[in-house]
Amino acid sequence: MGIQHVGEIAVWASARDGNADAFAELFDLHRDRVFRHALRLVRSQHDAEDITAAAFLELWRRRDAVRVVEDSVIAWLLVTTNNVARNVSRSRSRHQALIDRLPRGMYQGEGAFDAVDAHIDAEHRETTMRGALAQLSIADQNVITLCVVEELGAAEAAAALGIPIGTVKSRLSRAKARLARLAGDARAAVSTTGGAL
Amino acid sequence: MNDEPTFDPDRSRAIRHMLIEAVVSAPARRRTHRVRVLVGIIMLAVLTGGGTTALALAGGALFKPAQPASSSTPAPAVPTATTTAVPIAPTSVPSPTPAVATLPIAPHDVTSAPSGASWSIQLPGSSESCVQHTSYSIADGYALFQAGPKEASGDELSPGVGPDPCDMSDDGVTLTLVDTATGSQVWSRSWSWNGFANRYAGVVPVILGTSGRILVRTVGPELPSEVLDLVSGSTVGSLALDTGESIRSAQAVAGDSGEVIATIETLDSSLNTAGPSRVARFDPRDASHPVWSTVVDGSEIGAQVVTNGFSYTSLHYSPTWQTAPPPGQTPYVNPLLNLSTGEISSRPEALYYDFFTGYTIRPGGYDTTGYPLTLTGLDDDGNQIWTRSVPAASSVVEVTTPLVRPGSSDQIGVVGGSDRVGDGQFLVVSPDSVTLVDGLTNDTIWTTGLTGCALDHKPYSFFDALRTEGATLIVTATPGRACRFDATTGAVLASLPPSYWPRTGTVATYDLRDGTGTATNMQTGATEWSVPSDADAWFFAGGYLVAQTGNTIVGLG
Repeated sequence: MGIQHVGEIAVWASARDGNADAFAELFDLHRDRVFRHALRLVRSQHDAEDITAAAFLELWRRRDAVRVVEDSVIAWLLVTTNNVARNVSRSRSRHQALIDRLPRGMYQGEGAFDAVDAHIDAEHRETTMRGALAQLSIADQNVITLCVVEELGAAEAAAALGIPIGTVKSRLSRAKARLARLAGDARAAVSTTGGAL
Repeated sequence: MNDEPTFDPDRSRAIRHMLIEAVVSAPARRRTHRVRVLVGIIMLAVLTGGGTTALALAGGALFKPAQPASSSTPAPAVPTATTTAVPIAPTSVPSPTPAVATLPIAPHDVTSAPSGASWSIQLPGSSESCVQHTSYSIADGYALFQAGPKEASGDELSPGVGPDPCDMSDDGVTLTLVDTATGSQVWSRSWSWNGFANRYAGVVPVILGTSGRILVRTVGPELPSEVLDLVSGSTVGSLALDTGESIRSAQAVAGDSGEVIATIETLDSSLNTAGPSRVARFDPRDASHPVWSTVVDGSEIGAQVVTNGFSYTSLHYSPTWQTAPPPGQTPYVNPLLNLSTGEISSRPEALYYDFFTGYTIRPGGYDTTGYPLTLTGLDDDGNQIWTRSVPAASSVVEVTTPLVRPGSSDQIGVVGGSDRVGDGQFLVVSPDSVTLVDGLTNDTIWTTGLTGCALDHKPYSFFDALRTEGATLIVTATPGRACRFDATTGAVLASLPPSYWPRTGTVATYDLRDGTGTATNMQTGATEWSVPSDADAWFFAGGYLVAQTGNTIVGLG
């Protein structure tokens, strides 16, 4: 049964109770979104893949504490991705023993090297923004992730973060200003004017 | 050209499988303990990978110091060993004073149902549910228990706010060395900090081989990293690096040198690379005078952790490309690191080792799905001792014993992998067959088909193999599949109920599930005994089975 037929909340409930297939469905559903967000936070695709794995392992490990927002775990996953990425930078993920067992990614064939080239190019373009994001506090980074990057509403972000809506709004305003100042280029200016608020 | 990186499909499949494994392998939680997140996969909760790896000390040629490697081209060696597996027998001897064992630690089976706690101890430290717990077996009868740091969900964390009433303003870690035969505390040390100001601070104990010292590597700004004396817990030195330098990973050097192999990067306050990266070998009490230090032209350096006496390891890092990688090269590289000299040399393909007890295997000739087609056996000096072709889509699995490496975390082996000591043999598990091989001689001991076996080989299944006292080989695959083989002939034996990676003794396994602890005979599958238990987890600590509920540790036998 596909996730679209039963709804994510039902799949999450089943996964939380130990249904491995349901958990795998959640991975299929949110993998790319988590991965893309991880790429915003770290330099290498390899690390982004590891962070994605660790974020989902955290989803399972902390399944009793996950905040479901709008019948979805994606907001919690994205905030967790921020946390995991910081842990990767400062130490290593708690799940590194598991992640180390994964096969090493290998770029194969000409098409793959196109992807590599593209990654390098994209990396250059994203360096400024990544550096700016990294300089934000985790609280600011979370609110930027949810409200600007993922375009969630203030209420959803507040539910995901466990803080009042007013706090989200005020923090977002300050975080946008800080991010624009840190990034200091037009790209940042464009990015920080977006968002659902 | 697609301008957006995509998830490597092989790694994605492997991660998906790993998640399934994690879910299947986790014991069901009792509803009354929903808030406590301390069972099942959380028992992987060695603080960080650095901690995990650092504590994976040598097995087999235990704590053998790294020897200078031969400068000549490694030549094939003539196999001389006969096909004999290491006998499974307790080899550890209780020590009157704490010392890291030089031999594997054997689990003490609990042969009858515990009528009560043989001992009980309340560990120092916060009892909040967000405190993370880990334990490390030091020797027979001695285990180091780590409580903390705290880890709570959400953004605003303080008592009464959010679903996790965790006071992050009073964060820290406590290390307590316990005599697990008697339940007495040997020593305890605590470090504390404001969890809001140091949200990502962590503590990684690195047990420095058999030197009798522990490096308490604190990860976080302005928090100390100290070297402790194992007997007293007192500080005997501090780890001091150059300004801006930060250890990314550290592993202990086998033996009594007390040295570590560390990958080090230079970061600015925003955690961006701000200087050269290096890998170095040094005594953490005197990091400014390393045995060697080698600059690495790249970032995000990691080193595969050596868990036997091998003299080399695989580095991986992102090179400092000025433009796109040259043709044929990947965005990250896997050169070879000589642990004795610090010399780094490149290799033509991804370099990865299986550090098995008494020998090392280098998989190679990867097919397009990432599976190796050839295996090369290596001795500790890096000399080739054999090569072997394997069928497509084969996995290489070390056959282990119930004995564990000193310094190992008893909570690592819940989901695949383990710190168990190998018995000198390994399995080649293909989609159709299982082959048992002698790791020193490359002799095939037997090959048997998987007909009648519920192993259910799937891409990137994680296998675990355990040889029991009764010459039975238990092979477990995910999700929750297990087969038993006669270790001598390879004959498929009657299957047991699916394994959920319970704690492994010498003759029985011990599993806490849904409030009931059960001992199951590994040879017969019969239930030896079962008792109700309110504990969060059961595990072996210093070879003794204990139950843990928060900061309370209870001896079970």
